[in-house]
Amino acid sequence: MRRLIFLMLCITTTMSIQAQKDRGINDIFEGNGIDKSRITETIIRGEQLEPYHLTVFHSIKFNATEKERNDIEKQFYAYISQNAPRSDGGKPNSEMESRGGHLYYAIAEVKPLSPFDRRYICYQCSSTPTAGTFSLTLVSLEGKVSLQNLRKMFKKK
Amino acid sequence: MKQTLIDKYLNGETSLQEEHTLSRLLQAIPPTQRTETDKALLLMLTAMPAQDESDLFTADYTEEYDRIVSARKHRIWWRNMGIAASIALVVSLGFMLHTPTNENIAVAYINGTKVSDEQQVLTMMESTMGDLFAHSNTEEELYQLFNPE
Repeated sequence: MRRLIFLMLCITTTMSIQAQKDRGINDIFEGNGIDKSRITETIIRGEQLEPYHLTVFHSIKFNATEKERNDIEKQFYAYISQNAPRSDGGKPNSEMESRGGHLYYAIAEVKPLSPFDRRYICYQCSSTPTAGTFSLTLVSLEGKVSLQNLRKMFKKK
Repeated sequence: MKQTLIDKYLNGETSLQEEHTLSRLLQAIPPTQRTETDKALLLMLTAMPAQDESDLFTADYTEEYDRIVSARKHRIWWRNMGIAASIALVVSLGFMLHTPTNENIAVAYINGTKVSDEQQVLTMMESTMGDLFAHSNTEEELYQLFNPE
């Protein structure tokens, strides 16, 4: 009986630790830490995404202060380094571009939430006319689509 | 002295103190040298209380009591932890299984204002993705070069 209880305690503790580990950037998608009245959020899930071979699209856009930009950039890097799938032992499937010492644009494949899909986290940051603020976009994509096909589908003509 | 005590014991005339003395005398004899009578007497005397009978009521049993209560508390603690762990497990599994991944949703919130027009939401998505892929880097240029649409 005690062994069983101990095992259950171990399982629940592990699950809690795993849940904590997966926080970070996911917290932003869940609307934690940023006032809802400042953001433009788009959530699409299901049939509407079938033409794009996606199952989930979730984006967050807002004007960030320099501190917010720096915090999110840090969280993004941390999340990518912890969650990039490396099953082939090679480099992670990602594209990143920096400007002025800060991340400007990034798309990275991360561990999927569903075993049947791939998941990508996208980041884009550009300066705004107001000094010290940045237009920041975060996108989470899930589906059976490659990075190349995503680009082909969404690249502006 | 030993024989006197034995005689008194067999006649049922010994006090508790004398029985203790007799027991000690018999125990002092090496086991190989004990007679059958010594062994029998020792067996009978061993069963007697080690302390004065009044000690049964005055002795301090706090340690024994604490040991029993502590073991019981320990069992209760384990039982409660088991219940808590079970509940946590069931709740966690419930959350995992309840995640509505198959629902059709198309919604946007612009500065807290809800937009539920599906077409408008899809346009917003395409615009966001278009902006994201509007970048051109070397890797992409090479891809486009070798994978023409």
